[in-house]
Amino acid sequence: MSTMQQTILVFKTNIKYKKDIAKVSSVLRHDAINNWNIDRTDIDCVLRIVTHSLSTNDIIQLITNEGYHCSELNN
Amino acid sequence: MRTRDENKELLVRQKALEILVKEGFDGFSMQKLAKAANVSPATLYIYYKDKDDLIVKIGIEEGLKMKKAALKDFDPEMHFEEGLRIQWKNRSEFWLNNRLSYELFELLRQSSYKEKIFESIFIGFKEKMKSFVMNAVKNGELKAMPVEVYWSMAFAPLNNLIRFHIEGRSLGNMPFTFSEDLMWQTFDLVIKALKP
Repeated sequence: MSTMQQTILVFKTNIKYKKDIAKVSSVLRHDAINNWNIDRTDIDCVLRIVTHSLSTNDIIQLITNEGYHCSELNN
Repeated sequence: MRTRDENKELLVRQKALEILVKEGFDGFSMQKLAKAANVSPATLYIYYKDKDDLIVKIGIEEGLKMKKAALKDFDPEMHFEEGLRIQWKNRSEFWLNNRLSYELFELLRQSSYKEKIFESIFIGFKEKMKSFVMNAVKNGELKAMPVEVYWSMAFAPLNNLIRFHIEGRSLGNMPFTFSEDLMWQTFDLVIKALKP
């Protein structure tokens, strides 16, 4: 377990199908991302990221660069 | 930094249990839960990875509660009749007071979540029950028999009374209410059958 502070970030996306997940998984295989998953059963296809250094905007950029919608799921 | 709020988490768990039992796994959604617990979906995703993760965690949580209740005042070294009596008392009390947990387990039993959940609940539990039975056989208080036969005799009758009660109906749709008298009457017959 890392001693660095981990943050959980959650996003609304349109990453719905397995092929979409395959596509984004290459950019999410990132040194600063400890863990990620997408809840495809959810209406918002929620992307959940556990990271110790990336920001919300970093993630949004990573995902939108792949051609998907990604916005912060607000509290 | 988001912090976890204990009360909020308890409410989320309670509402999740209610929705799961009422709507089943297919009818359950994080959105419905968020609305019912008055939290944002984002908060739920802080607590749980996804819907599957939530179902598994809630299932384990309820299972551990059941395990704790079942083992209260119980010791595998006890005389057989005394130990089994405590088991019946503990289990009946738990199921009668935790109806939602009962119904959740009925759902889980038939689901693909079953193995993941029951595996982690039964750690430590199975061993205790096993050594209780082995001691009883060794001490001449219980006939030796296959574990399936033992379980079908020792617990299935109780579970059936509980099921009748929760469904409110017994055979031929007759109204049914559980009572301790009925339970101990059943228990005495079970003990008679199991003793060498």
